[in-house]
Amino acid sequence: MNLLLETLLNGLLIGGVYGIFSVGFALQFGTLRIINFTHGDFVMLAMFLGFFAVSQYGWNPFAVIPVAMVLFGLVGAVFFTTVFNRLKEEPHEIQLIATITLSAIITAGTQGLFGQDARSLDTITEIFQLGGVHLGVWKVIGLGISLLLAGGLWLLLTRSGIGRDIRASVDDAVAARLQGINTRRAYLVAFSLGALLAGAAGATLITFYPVTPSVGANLLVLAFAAVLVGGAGSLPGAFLGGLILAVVQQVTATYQSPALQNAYVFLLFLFILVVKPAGLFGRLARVD
Amino acid sequence: MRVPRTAMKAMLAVATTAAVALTAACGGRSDSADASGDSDIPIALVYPTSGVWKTQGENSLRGAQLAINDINAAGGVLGGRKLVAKVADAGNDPQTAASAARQLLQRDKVAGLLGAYLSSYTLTVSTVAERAGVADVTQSFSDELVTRGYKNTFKTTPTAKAFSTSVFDYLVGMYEAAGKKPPSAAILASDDASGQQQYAAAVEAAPKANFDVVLKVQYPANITDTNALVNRIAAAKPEILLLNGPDLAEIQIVKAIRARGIDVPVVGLGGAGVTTQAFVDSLGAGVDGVLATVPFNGDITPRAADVAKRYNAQHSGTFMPAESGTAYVGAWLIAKAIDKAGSADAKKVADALRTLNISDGPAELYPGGAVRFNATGLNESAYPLMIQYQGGKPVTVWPEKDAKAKPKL
Repeated sequence: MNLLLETLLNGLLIGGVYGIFSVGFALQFGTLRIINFTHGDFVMLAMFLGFFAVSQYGWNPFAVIPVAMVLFGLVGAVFFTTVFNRLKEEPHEIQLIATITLSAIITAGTQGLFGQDARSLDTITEIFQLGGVHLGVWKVIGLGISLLLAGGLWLLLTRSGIGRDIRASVDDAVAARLQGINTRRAYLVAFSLGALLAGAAGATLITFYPVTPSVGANLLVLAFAAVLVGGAGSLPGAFLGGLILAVVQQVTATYQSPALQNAYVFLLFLFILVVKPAGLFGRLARVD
Repeated sequence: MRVPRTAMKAMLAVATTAAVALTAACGGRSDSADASGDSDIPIALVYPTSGVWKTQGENSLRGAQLAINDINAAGGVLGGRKLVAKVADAGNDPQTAASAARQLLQRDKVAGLLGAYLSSYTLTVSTVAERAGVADVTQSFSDELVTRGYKNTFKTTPTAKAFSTSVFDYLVGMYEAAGKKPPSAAILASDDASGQQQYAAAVEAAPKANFDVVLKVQYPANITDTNALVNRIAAAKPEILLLNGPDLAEIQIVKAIRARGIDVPVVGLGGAGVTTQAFVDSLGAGVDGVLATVPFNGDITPRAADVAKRYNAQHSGTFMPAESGTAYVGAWLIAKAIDKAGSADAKKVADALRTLNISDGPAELYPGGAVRFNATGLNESAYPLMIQYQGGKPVTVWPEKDAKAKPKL
């Protein structure tokens, strides 16, 4: 019983972090209609930032998270202005080739700098017991941060002016422009927010998950699956998709084999695609 | 007086040529160290000093270099000639290792070769050495090294098979001696080639040794989240954990079970993960109780302890890794063979190694206390030692006759 409870809880804890980078991915895709293959690499770079800040410079992992959010938010703004804003009007195949290439460059560059070896903050192993169930302290903190960020983003999108502009640009960019909404600014903010979430996710993830230059590709695939399981176009759906995938991974690893955990993720993905093509919370009409 | 520009150019050309010639002459002088004459005698050290196996390669290099310093300080070989190391980086794959060895053997006329730590590298490097008629004195484990009919491969350590069978033999003996019944065991191994071998061998051997296997899992070698594995170990409550895998996974698993208060003995199956300084450093006190089989340990004889002490003083580690110890012995064996042959000619040195039979000097660093090679090139007297970390240091705990402390089970 404890094993099952521990497995489910751990899935939820890890799922919070999966949730926020999936939300970041969904936000960028929802606004720009570009599949951003560099999103996983942003998470990977933030993990490296966290790794070096903590292991080399003795930072508290907590302190890295806001720094990573600001830094990657800015990097996101630069990427948007220099690359993604131009890509927006290009055909889908050009967008795909461009972002895949960018992702390959980032991965290869990181590999050149740091090598292929996996690095982890294995100094952090604090755990606590809750009624016989063992939980990693940093995983609990990670879920807390993820929920805060997801909540904050929800408030921003539903209660603020820029949030309204973003939603209007997503629904109908032409109409939004006719209403005097600066859609370019809305896109810029949405894209930067996505990158900011990738930064937060990476800086949190490194406290319990090892980083390699190629980890971004694995994470991106998970974000993809989370968004489609949750429902394309739905940000809460993406967050929930992340939680569900992490639980599926943990249950598979515990009761089947760790080697099969992603196989089950994609089995679930296929199942949802067949029985509810729009995803659990999606509306088909919003998918282009 | 104005010097014409053409004359200036000519002077420059002459000066440059002279400088180049002079440098070449100096270089030639230092390169003239070869296996003939009265000069220094080069020996080849081919180890991975970059890539995944960098740490173990560098440890081997340090051990060999310490031996060379000791040999030279003790008067060198052939009545006063000094040994000098010629180092090549075996890199990150067997082909690189082979071409590094080939280039080195073409460039320098060495008396013998040490290398190349990892079995898959040694398999290609020893082929290069075999063709060149140079002895490869190796610490690698693979059985294949001594089943190919090579005349110039000299394997100083026990075979990989001896290592895998000894684990259960030793454990059975240790539990019997402690008056305990065979424990319940969890077997965890990664799913790469070596891990699969270790897994299959352990799953087969454990029930035969009356170990009750309560958990057996193969996990991906590139595993990122070991949490599920740790939960399963905790739920299965084994009395001993048999663990194989990449360093990072082994560190994460042992660290996580120790954090949960599971302090059962952990046995490292194959691989070098649990015998690295990094493993010890990152686990801290949690390393205590971890067991592994090794070909060398710094506490086995007073002579080994002396070598290990000087090694640690030079390299600020807490112990002398097995690969440093075996490389140390290897360099000494080449020196002994040079003296026995009365020549630094590689072929004569290889001949001398074939009939070498010593039970003093470097042989005192190995369990069994003797070195002699059989027709296949295997040092027949070597056998594995079981070490256990106690107080953060590897202590020999089995076989009983070599044990320096009782195993904590």
